[in-house]
Amino acid sequence: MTQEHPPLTEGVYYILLALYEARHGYGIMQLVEEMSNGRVRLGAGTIYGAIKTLLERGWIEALDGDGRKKEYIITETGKTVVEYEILRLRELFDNGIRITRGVE
Amino acid sequence: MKKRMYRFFIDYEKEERWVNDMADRGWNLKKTVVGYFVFEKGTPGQYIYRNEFINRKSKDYFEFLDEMNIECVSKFGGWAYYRKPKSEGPFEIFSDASSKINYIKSMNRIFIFVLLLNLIIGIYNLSLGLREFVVGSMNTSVGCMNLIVALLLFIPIVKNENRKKGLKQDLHIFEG
Repeated sequence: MTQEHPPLTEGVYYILLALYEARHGYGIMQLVEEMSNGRVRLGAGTIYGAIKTLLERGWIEALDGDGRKKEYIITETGKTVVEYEILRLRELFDNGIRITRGVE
Repeated sequence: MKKRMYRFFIDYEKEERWVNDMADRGWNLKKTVVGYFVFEKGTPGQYIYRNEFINRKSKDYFEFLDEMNIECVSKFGGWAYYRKPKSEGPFEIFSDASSKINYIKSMNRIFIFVLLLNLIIGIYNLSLGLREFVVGSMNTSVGCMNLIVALLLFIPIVKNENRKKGLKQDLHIFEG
């Protein structure tokens, strides 16, 4: 496996996962907190900055809504990035388990 | 009941800690204009406060914060104060090292620019003031003011650089 993309930050990884369904900022924050059992609490400024960067890269897109709350969804490019990241995480996980012989 | 106070902080993080100490004692910040603070009596420990340097932050950003249930209580002179009920858990504007570094960088860019501006204008005023002893006294005092502003900015710039260094070290071993 070549290093096609550098590793994602935990925040970006979770934001991309959260956007497999259309969500607005608050929805992203809530879902990420829920998925990580309260371990990952993303700051509003951090989410805002990440959304702007991800939009520029074309990994997510904004949905045209009539409401005041803007919703975002992941793009095909974004999904490829996430799939690649999962492979990387699996490699890390498998090697960790193999060498430490698992965690009990 | 309201409480009005004058207090000057060179370090914005210290100021934020003080505002939170006040909130823990039941004084909730309502407004602040460089060193002037208005607090309102409330329940002790009701809110967590955060400040942010908001140079060139768009309307879009404040709408986003509003959607995140973050209340903007005061906005003045490039600084904003936000609050969230303590019952909703921890509250930070920036939650990882890379976004904190970006924030500090953009703040220091402005601080350094304003410092240099004051330094140049200050030296220029002083040189004018010293040349014309009597008439130039106005230039001398303005020049001194410029140099004081430059000095007051120098301290947070150095503190910010140290914070940035610490965060960058974290990034070598942690993902942020």
